[in-house]
Amino acid sequence: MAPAVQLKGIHKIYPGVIANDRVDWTLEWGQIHALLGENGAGKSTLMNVLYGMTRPDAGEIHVDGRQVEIPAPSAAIKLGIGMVHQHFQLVGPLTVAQNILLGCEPRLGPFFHTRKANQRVADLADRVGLPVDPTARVEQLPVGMQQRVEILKVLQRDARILIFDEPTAVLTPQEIDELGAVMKRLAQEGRALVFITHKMREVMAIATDVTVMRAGRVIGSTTPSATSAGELAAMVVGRPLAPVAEVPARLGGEVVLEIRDLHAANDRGLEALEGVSIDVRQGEIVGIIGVEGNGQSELVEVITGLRKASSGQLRLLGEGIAGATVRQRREKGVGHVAEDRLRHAVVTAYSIADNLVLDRYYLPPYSRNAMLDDRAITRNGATSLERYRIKAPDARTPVSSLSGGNQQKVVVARELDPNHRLLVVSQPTRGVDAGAAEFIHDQIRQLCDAGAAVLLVTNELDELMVLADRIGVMFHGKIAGWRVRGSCSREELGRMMIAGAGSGPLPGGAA
Amino acid sequence: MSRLRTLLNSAGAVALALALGAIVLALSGYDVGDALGALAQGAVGSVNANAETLLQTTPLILAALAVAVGLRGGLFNIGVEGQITIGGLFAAVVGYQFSDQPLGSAWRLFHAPAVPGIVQMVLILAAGVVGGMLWGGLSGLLKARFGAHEVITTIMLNYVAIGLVSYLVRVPLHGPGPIPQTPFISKAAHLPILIPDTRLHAGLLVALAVAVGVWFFLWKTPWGFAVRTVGLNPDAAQYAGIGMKRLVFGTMALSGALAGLAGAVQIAGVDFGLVQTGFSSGYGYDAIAISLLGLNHPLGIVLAAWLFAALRSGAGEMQVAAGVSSQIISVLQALVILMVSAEAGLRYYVDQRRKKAQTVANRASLEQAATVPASPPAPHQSSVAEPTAEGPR
Repeated sequence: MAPAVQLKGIHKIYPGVIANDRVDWTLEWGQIHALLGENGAGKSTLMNVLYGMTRPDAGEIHVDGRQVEIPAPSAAIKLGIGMVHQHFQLVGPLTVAQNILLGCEPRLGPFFHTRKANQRVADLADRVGLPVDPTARVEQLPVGMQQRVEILKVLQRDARILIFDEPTAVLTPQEIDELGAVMKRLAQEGRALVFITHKMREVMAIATDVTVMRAGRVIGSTTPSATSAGELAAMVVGRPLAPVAEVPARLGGEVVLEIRDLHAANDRGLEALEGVSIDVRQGEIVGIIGVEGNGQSELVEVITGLRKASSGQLRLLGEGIAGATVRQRREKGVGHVAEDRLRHAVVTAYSIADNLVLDRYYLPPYSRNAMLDDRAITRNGATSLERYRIKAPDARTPVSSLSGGNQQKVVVARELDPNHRLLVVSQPTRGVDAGAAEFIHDQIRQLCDAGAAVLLVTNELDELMVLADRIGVMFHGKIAGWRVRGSCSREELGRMMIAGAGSGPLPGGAA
Repeated sequence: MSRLRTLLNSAGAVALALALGAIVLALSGYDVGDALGALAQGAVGSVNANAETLLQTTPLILAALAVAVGLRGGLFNIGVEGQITIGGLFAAVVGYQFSDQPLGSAWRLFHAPAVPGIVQMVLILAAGVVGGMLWGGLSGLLKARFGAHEVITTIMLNYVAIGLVSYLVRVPLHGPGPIPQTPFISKAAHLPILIPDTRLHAGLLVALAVAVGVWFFLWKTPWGFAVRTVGLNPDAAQYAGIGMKRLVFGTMALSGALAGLAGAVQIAGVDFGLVQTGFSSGYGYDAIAISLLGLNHPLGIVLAAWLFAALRSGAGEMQVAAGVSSQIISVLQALVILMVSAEAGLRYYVDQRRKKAQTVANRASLEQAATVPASPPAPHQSSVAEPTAEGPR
């Protein structure tokens, strides 16, 4: 049987970079093929070529043994190629059935034939073994379910070749396991699957084949059983990653952030925090994990001043800050790496240099005598560009033209200021490649060693296991329990995240 | 470079609008040559025509700057018309206090004869700034304090302003004589005339200076940085510690102040007193179009304001000399706006085309490179990459 996809000599140049350098790549039917590589290694370009979103400068595309031209996504869809996007292309207020059948709706005269649509989606879900409620409104579904709708949408068009673009970036560990099972079943039925990812663990658990790309070239292809996560990571980065040192969990020094019985409401006015108490000490990293929507976002917003607490105490170095403005908190030394980078942490139309002073533009040396000092701002930008290895021509480059990983480095460069006493970090490596993630982790550790207190809120168990000294699991607006790193397993934490059970002793935590 | 291109594109759009306007004129049965000739004659055909155009340009610059400051800060100030009116009211009331003429039944707030003209001028302009600032600031306060949308409140306050002035000039500020208007300001307070025997006054210089000031404020001061940040990404601004409420209030107050100054310049330079109706004659609404046409940039605004003023002052001549309804001018203005918006769309289309052409060029040079037998992969990569360095970003 001819391979599902064969790419021959795909070459694509963007001004200044070779995104794909004569790439040869083959995808067989029944494979789950992982595409690994740093941001900018060319994985996305290659997949965009396959899905018709980018036209290559040279090269051939063969689908199921026939040479084809794919000038647009519509052509790809006709060839049975489907893409599950990282950012879901769903219409929130519409139902599951309406979303899946968007564009080929069954009609009853001029109207949407709801009953027929629901039936058709139910049949489809049944056939492929992905149960969904066709009548549920998409915006009310958890993220994992929304992704399932996205997959069904692709399958509804009879896609036999499925591209998953970083499918696990927004999922909880349980949802990732479920997705893995779904992908395996789809492959067993004879489809061909590709997925772009940064996470070695998923490659090892889900993929049947792996291809590693670096700087626009294919570095090599292998199978997970023939290699190890460490070897793959080294291939991705081009050098061995430093082994994660087994540092014993540190005991922090003086209490920097003290939270007592904190209550707060979410955007809909419902209680999101129901009595949270946390101490974060100088020189320690306290990790907070939980299934999305258990109050982690609200906790971060209350600490950083973006949301008002309804009751409870919030003290920074002994001083109450519950009533302080965001600026006052920042001036007292609170840094904040926001969860949603593009919404909160950067102004994409601004240059790197301007973004680096977003919170301190009004202070010397950036402003003097009521005037901005553009030279000081640019100089500061150039320094950070070098120190944080941000890949950009110069500090005047707009942030909109950077890759996600480099945008995050800009945020990290600003927020991991040595003057900060408390660092609140949310999902610091979301959508960031392994090399950049390692770098960001190092920076956080260094700042912590230099005496800052760090509160790390993340969905990544792996990140927590390498960084955090203590781990608190959030469940229904409370800390369900504390664990010290090294004395707990992933499974135990996973269980606590779903069930909230096991509120054990509170080692070093707030009484 | 790219800014120059933008400017040329806008000029092209204006030319296209005039061409389409000519077609409209022809379809309406007018002699196109006569009509456009009269338009040009009225706009720039003589010293006086030029002076009248620049006279109209002055308030339009200031009013459009008011709109631009709001838009840069993410606020849509539709209340410029009302802020001009209140600015004019404050300017007129302060101005006539210095008058040595009888005031009729108008209120005398203070008695200050023999104040030098230049001091009177400064006080009149300052009063206009304060009036506009209060009126704009009120909308800002309502937004910051209660979350009331500025589009709603500014529109509503336009009606309040016009109704208020209409009452005031009829009853407590009614000057001498039968016409409901405020007493005139003293001759000494009139803004100096720039070109003898025309009405063009020094307000134009004030407007140009303010345009430079607004540019400096927005791009060279920390407050301007904060305003632009809020306009581009309010969530990020809040996250970075910029006090949103104060900034919303401040931006609206500043926007209103600029509009108020436009009103005061009209009082001190052209009208000298406030009449019951038609004081601003739609400057506040034209200002929105001018600001958008000028890409919310002071330089663009100065040019766009002149264009609108030329159309306004040419309209009269076109009506008189060629018998064309002055309504046609509204059609022309609409065409200009339409063409400039279309130009932005066109530019996007052209960029897309160029990207495609780039791909083709890359292919061609790649094939060429591939035919050179001895060249190993590395060198011809660079030879391929090179031409693209000049391509679109």
